[in-house]
Amino acid sequence: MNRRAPKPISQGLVYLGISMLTVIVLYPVMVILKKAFEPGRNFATSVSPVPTEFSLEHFENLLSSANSSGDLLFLRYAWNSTLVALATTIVGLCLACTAAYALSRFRFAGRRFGIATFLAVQMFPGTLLLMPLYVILHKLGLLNSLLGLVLVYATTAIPFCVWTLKGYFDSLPKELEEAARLDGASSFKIFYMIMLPLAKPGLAVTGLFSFMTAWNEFILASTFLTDDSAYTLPVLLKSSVGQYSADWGLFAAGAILTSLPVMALFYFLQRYLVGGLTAGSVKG
Amino acid sequence: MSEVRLTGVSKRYDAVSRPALESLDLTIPNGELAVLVGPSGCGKSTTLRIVAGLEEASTGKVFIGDTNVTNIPPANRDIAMVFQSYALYPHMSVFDNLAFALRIQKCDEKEIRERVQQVARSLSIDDYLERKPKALSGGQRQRVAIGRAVVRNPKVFLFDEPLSNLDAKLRGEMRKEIARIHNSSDHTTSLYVTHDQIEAMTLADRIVVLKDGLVQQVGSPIEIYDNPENRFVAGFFGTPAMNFLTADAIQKNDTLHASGEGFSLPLGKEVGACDRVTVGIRPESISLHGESDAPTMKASVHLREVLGAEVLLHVDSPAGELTVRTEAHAEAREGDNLTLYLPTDKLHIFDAASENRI
Ligand SMILES: Nc1ncnc2c1ncn2[C@@H]1O[C@H](COP(=O)(O)OP(=O)(O)O)[C@@H](O)[C@H]1O
Ligand SMILES: [Mg+2]
Repeated sequence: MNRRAPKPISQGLVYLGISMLTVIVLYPVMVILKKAFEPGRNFATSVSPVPTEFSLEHFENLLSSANSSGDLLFLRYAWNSTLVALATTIVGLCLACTAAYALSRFRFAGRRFGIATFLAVQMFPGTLLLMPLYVILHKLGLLNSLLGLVLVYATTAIPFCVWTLKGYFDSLPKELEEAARLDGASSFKIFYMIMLPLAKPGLAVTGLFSFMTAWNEFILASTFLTDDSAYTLPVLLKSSVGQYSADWGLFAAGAILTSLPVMALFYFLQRYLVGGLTAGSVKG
Repeated sequence: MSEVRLTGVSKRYDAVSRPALESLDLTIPNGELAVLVGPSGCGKSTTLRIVAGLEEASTGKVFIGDTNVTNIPPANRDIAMVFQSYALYPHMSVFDNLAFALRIQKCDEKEIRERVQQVARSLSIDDYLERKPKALSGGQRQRVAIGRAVVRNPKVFLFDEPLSNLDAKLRGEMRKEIARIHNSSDHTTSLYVTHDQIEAMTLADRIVVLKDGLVQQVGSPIEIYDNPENRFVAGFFGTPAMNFLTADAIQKNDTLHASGEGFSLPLGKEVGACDRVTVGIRPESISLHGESDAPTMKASVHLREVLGAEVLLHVDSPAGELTVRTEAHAEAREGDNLTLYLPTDKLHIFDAASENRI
């Protein structure tokens, strides 16, 4: 394969385009950063993303705000969010990976219907389920509980996870499984000794997705959690910019701290996100 | 005893298309290496997969030794298979790949180590035991794939086109390796699938020729080469392929002749009720010199290809284009007119309609 070297002009245009897109994507982030480090509650009217003053007061306020019994609110909600997001990811992944494998490799009655259903339920926005879910959680006595939230998040994340993982399992060579069957492995051993390790990139993608949805979700959380000891971070963030008084500095500082864990996850999972784990298994 | 026997095995993947295999009866005696050969799509892999248990036969039974294994799962058939794509476990080291089946069988870890080491040494992959498959070359991966089968010491080896991803030189080496592995045990039966007639000829104790799901002929390489049962088998083996000429069977001076425009060859045998025949003759059976009473044909050379020890002459004859293989120092050049000698005992005669041997 012999590709012509790109002409300098067209290359320059490409870089210009990429730079513009980068600015467009980064601008809102810069504005939030600016607000987080700039003293004062209100948004400045200037469009410049460069702060004129620098202070950590919003971070200090955020991290030190406590309720009447002295609990640090931010840390408490961060802990709630972590529990919910981790539990959602684990429950979602465990259920989704077995379901996806079965849908990918076994032929059974109801398989096509199951796949179609998983796709169909994806098409409804979560808010549509708000009322029925509220009723269900109420009947189960799980309103205001993190467990209830985990169940809701996991069930909404599972269809996507199943679809993504099924696609991933479909792409793994059938011969690997046949080789393992000839080697004497049972279906379950084939699943956890061969297929699951090879599906790590798929697991990383779906795990990250589940974590992010649970971590960032606001509407369901704010509806189901009415007691402020059970809040998650997005609910806290929203409450800092209420209807009558808005502290945008606090909000910006909270938004930045909230996004750090997801960014860290992206960073550590990127080698899986790139994929390529089956390289070297088949062909020369 | 590890004789492999198939009786009345057929396979239909779906109701509409023609069956991939039609009523196959085949016995491979204990310790033999049988090669299933035929063009792509003729049902070779299907046969192998039915023996492995990866595919269910639509009808018929499979026996290994005296056991009817038709309904026994692959793991309990005591077979090992080498896949065309190698199918190495990519996330495991070479050692773990080789040890996988033994670990499933819960062998003692010390014994596993010994067996893996020994097989790895015999296949010269003992330097790579800690590597992952992706850090190996194609030839090394192929050795690991073979090692994974050998280490289990199975009753039956199955090979599905194991060499088709390798270059010509490696293919020759690995062919010898496979022959050595098969011969190292008197009681291992091997079933080897290939579309390559040279691999089939060189490896096989017994060749099974398949076409469109039907067995065309079963026999030793020499039997198949010397006495092909039909025109397909005759044309499939040998490079360059056998020459075929179609002619009328006509009685002349008490002997039967294959007669066409500008040529007439005595057939030397009865052809029964058949009046059109296809006469086959291998390129090396045609010679440029011969007895004065041998049947001959006039021809002119239109292309000369030197192979080194030999030369191929592509000639135009009254019966159409023929290929002649002769020694490299033959004087014939492009444009020369020649007399070809076609010995009667080297002719293969087929019924032109049914294409079966007469
Ligand atoms: N899983 C399958 N489903 C449907 N048809 C198949 C399947 N596998 C093979 N076939 C068909 O069966 C025939 C024989 O296939 P195969 O045994 O793989 O041929 P070979 O190995 O000789 O090239 C082919 O026509 C192929 O298209
Ligand atoms: Mg095949």
